[in-house]
Amino acid sequence: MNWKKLVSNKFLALPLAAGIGLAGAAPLWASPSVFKTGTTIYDPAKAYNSYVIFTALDGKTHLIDLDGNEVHSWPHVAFPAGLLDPALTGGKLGHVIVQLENGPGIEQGFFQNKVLAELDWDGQVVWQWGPEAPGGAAQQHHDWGRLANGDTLVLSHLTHKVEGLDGKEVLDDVIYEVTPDGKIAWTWVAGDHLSEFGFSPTDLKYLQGVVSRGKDVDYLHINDMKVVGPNHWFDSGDPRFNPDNIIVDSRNANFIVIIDKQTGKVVWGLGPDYPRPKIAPGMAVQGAKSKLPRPVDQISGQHDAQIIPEGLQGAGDLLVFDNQGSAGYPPVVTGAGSRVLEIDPVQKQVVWEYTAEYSGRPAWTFRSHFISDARRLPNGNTFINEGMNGRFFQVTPNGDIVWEYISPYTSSPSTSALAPNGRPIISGDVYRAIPVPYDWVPAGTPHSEKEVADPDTLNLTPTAQ
Amino acid sequence: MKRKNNFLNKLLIFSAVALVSTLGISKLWAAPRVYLTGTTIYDPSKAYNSYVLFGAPDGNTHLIDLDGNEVHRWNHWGFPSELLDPKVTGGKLGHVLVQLSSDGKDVWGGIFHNKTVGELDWDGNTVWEWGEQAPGGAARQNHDWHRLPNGDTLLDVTVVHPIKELDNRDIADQAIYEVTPDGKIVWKWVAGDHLSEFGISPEGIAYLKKQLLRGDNAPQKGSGFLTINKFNVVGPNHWFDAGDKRFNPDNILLDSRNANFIVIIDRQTGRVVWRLGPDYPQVKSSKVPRPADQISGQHDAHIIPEGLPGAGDLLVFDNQGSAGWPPVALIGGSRVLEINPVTKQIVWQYTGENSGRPIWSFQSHFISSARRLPNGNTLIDEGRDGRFFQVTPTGEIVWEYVNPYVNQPHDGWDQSGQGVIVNWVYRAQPVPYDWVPAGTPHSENPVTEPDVTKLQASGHKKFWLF
Repeated sequence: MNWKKLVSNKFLALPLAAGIGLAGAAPLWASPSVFKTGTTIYDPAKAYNSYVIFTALDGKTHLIDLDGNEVHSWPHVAFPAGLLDPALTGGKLGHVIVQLENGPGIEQGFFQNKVLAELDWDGQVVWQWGPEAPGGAAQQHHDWGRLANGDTLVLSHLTHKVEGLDGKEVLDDVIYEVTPDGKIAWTWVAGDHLSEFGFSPTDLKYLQGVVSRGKDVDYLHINDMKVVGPNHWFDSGDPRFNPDNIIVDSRNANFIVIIDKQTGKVVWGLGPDYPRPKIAPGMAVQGAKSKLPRPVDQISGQHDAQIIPEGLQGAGDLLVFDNQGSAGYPPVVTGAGSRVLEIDPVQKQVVWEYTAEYSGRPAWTFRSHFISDARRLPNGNTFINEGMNGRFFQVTPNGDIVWEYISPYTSSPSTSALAPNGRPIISGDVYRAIPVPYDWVPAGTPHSEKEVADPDTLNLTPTAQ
Repeated sequence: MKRKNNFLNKLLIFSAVALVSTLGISKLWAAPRVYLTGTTIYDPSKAYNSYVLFGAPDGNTHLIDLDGNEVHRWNHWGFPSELLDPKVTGGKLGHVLVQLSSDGKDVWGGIFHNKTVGELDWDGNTVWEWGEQAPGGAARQNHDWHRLPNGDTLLDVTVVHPIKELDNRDIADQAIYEVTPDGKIVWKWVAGDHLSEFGISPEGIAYLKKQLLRGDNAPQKGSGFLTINKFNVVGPNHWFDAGDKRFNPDNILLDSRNANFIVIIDRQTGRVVWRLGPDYPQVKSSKVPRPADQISGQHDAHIIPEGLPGAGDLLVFDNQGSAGWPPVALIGGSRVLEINPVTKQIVWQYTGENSGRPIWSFQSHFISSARRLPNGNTLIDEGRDGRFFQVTPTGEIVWEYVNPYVNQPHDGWDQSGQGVIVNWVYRAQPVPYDWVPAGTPHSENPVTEPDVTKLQASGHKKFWLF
């Protein structure tokens, strides 16, 4: 290409940024730049009408109705936010578990958690744990669970050497069961079970290389931990699905396992190596809407694996947000978009799935390569948090989007990480968002259910150019 | 009031809806779902003011001004649509290269169904056409092509044959042909002949063979096992002027999307004389300068032409799309990298973070392009989302446009067979005002960027139409 009217024939060194003027900079976090925030679609007749709770990068935990009205908030972050089932709080409504004290920064602070706490609706501390934890800090990350006996399961970190990983210290994941008076009643250390996760010799060799090249490598990055809960598999005699057992998934290693609460051993596993999904060569465009049911194909960087609770459509199946983010030892080929997969855990078959193509959109229009979650709703819809974009939506079983919301709560320049050129990186991403039934909050808490029409029903004539 | 008018003149997202309204399903193409198309940001005092040329999924080649007005259109699409320098058209203004005929049913049949390609004048008359004389009777041109000063045309074409080092079956490979105005092939370079020169490790070759055994690169699939998605002559540059023969202006620089390498081939011998990749150190930093780190699935690698800021450097859109033999780890956002090709250091880069946004806010795992502009800005096509924008050297977005020209359902563009609507754009090319016939209009009305956290008026139909 030859440009006329050339400015100069010299080789020009480009000035690299230092001290950018920030005046007038609007916080934007997704492309394209100009999009609507708040509730963008809402069909109250087809949606499961509820509240939604989530922690945003503004440092608060928000409770919204489906019209996007904030009906309550707590001035703390939670990792993740969740409203406690009144069955576990002696009938008290509107209790949450949050991170009470953290390291500096919002996102960075999540990972330097000192104190974990239960707050009541008014933000009063009901219970807290931290100074009595190993190392003097809770180090809680990614998940927690309140048990029926009143104890709390805490997913935490432990830096130590793991046998089979090159003699170097790694950042390992550990689960503590903590009693109401702060004692650790049960401990499970992931690294003790390295040989049970299904790594092939090739996988392990690659993993060892990663560990030996790095420092304190977060080699598993367990981002999910839940009790299995009552289910028909156990009822009909399969002890692997004991309701007290715990399901966890490893983001970095692409496996999902159930661990026996009594022995700590892995009793059920999926991954880390799966058959390849159908991907068009070169373009890595996922050929979604593949045949169902089918054997589980390659999951990558997944989040929020859970057994669908009894009483919901698909109860007993595994629901997981398959990010298709870069992950695996070695990294696997990833598709163009994320997937939500419902898996029969006994047959290990995908029995239902959602990708953007089920909503008639290209695969890449539903994509979050990290964070995110998916939950089955009482009316059969699935609630999805496309976390990277702070976008929550409900899909019907056949993929119709009946509610959509874009979180407007972003990080602020003072709490954000800085880009290499000095600009604060403003983001509206949301780690996890969870639907909350209307009757889990104190009486008198308002909600509205005003329809927000999907643009396609407006019958607008485009302003043609 | 000016701003109001600008918004009124935008082609809204609803245009796509109107196309498919009979189905009762909205088919929109990027997340989040409700957003503006057309020009969304424009600061004429900081942007490089020009036209932009691109082929869109509606099957047409569009020329727009920076306000998003379509000032011209050709009823053909090119892979890519390429505006010809008047220097290679005998001074004629506004000629383009496009695909002219296909023996397939869809627009995107461009690779194996692409029959003839050619040059159109401003009014859409065919000036030159080629394909029937090609080996196999069809052009099979894809991903790139260029007109040379001698009047010949260089084309990236798909060829099918076995490559004995890999597999004894036919596979899709790519070649570059130099074709004369009367259709004769006077020079040819076949990628598969140079497999051993691309720096692919024994592990990489083993992985590739395994892929081929699975039939991933069987004929009729993809454009070639390497997917060479960009080539161009190196062009005049200071490296050659100072005696470095690798950068001979006649040599050809090309990149392989699937294998993550960028090479320069000697025009005389066909041999690789300069190479970057396919294996790089892991991405651990965004500070510059630093050694080139892992590129994945890149597009549009080229030497910045003389006269532009950064002339002689390599500019490349590093998609960070899944690629490599075996696949490499990805960073979760695309990058535009300017690389000193001699020291192989990254001397400038753009990611979403440079604009104060998360790294994932700028991401296209496939297609896309990046071009340096005369005022030092860079025009970027985030191809997957049909989003073009100009960034200053410090990362300020001074112009942005979202392509509103979408496909019809089931015309093959979305590659999935689901009938979805896409607005993706393979490549966007900046076009100076004086490269088109006199009298072609353009406007430069500013468009102010709103604060999206405040875009929450209820009943967004009113909102978007204010």
